[in-house]
Amino acid sequence: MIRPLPLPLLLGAAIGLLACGTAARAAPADTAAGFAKRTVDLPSPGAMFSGTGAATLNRDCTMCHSAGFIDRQPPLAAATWTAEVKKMKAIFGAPYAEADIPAIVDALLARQQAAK
Amino acid sequence: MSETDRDAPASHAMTQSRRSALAGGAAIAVLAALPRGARGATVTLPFGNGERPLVPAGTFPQKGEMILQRTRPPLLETPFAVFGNNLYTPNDLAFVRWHLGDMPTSVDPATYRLRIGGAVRRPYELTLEDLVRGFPHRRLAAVNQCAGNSRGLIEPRVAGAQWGNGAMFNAIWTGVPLRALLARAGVSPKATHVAFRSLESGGIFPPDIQFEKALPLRRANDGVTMVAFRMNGAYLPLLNGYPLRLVVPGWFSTYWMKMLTEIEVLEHPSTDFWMAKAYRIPDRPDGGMRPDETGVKMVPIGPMRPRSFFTGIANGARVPTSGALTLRGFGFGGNAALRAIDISEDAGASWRPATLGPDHGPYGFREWHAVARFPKAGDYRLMVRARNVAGQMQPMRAVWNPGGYLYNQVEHVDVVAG
Repeated sequence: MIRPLPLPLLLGAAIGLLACGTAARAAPADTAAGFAKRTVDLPSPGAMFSGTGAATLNRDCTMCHSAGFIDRQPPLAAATWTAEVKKMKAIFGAPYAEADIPAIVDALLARQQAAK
Repeated sequence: MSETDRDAPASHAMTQSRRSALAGGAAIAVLAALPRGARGATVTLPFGNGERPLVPAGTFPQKGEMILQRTRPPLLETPFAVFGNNLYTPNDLAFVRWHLGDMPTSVDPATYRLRIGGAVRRPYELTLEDLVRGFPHRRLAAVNQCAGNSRGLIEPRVAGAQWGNGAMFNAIWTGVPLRALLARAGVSPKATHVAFRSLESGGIFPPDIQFEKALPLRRANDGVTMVAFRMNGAYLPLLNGYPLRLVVPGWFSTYWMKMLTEIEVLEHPSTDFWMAKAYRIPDRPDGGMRPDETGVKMVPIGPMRPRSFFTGIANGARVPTSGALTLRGFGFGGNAALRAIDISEDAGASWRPATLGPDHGPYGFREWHAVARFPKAGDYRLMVRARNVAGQMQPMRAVWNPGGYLYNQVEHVDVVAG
């Protein structure tokens, strides 16, 4: 089932081992000239929430991370969701007020209940 | 959850001709073909709420077909069948995990610098050219595995990325030993730890946050830990940390800092969130606790433990009662070399050694195979178990901890003979 390394890679490995032996004299391929500027496009932030709790969660969660990650969680207790929402504010600076946290947790719990 | 709640990437059409896919580890049922029309293929990981989009190659830059755990910031899981087909995981199929919502999407080698400083006599900085030309190189095979790999399988369930078994990959790494970089700087005799930072910094809202990890000095200076610039002979995909990634063979991926830009020698442990609050496990030999325990002393996670897997056989497979069947798979030792892989055909009542494939060094995947016979028709539970030279053996039941870390339970697959 497991294929061995393709031949070019094995040859590369052999060359690399030789390069190890000669310390700082790197193989020609290992030069910074090979580093190219690289810019990538990531997929758009992803779908927003719809359905239960969407208004609250789209306002307070999706600015940093996509909605699906929340929907892919297992059923979590209110205390666990509260700890997560507090962490997002305390550590990552989520711009909701402390006073908003219970409503966000309620929305998460309601969403979880609706998914059952 | 309604269909529209899924965060399938919106900027790429999910045109997927393939309608079924295999994923997950040995304990995984044959994954159903789940036609979803225009929504594309999905896989179902073997735990509750485990359905995930399987995004086509090219959906994410330099990435092949991956299991989507999160679009932003990206969490992409390697489909398990990839491990059965490749001892070294192709770069475009290596799993992806980022922490901050504004993860970097551009790297300019002309301005990129690696800074080495802190508690050292001679702080300095390197261009990529300086790094590659100015120091000896080392190559080795090593498994990069997320601390939370297989988290979805942990009971009771915990919050976090609900990975199957594919938050890991095996690669040959080429880089400069960290020891050589530290030696040039002249480490303070009072140094105890080395901290690492990267282009993954800032965050979307204040206060600025920096993803920081720190190793004990002894681990950083062991000659094996390295700053890698090649993965399987090629430059790293950006999502796997181009242009430089710390490689800490035997330790979990959380320490393998992507887009590494800063190495700071410390005279104390890191107090950063990612060391002091996150990625922590109970300070016990097995790293586990009871879910109802409180007041357990927690410490930063570090070394990996042994794991082993079946490949090419799924739950429910029919096996012949005549002749022999060769079982196959791979394993790794964690933070110490693999010592043995054992298999059981009777749900763990008895074990016998499998034959190990070529040894590619202590830190990478190693193949195994074993010839099995099933002379009596009926149900068999096959198991595979790895042991390492440090005396660690996979447990029959995974430990539990609040972060869902360290899962390495013995894998099984149920087959029917006859």
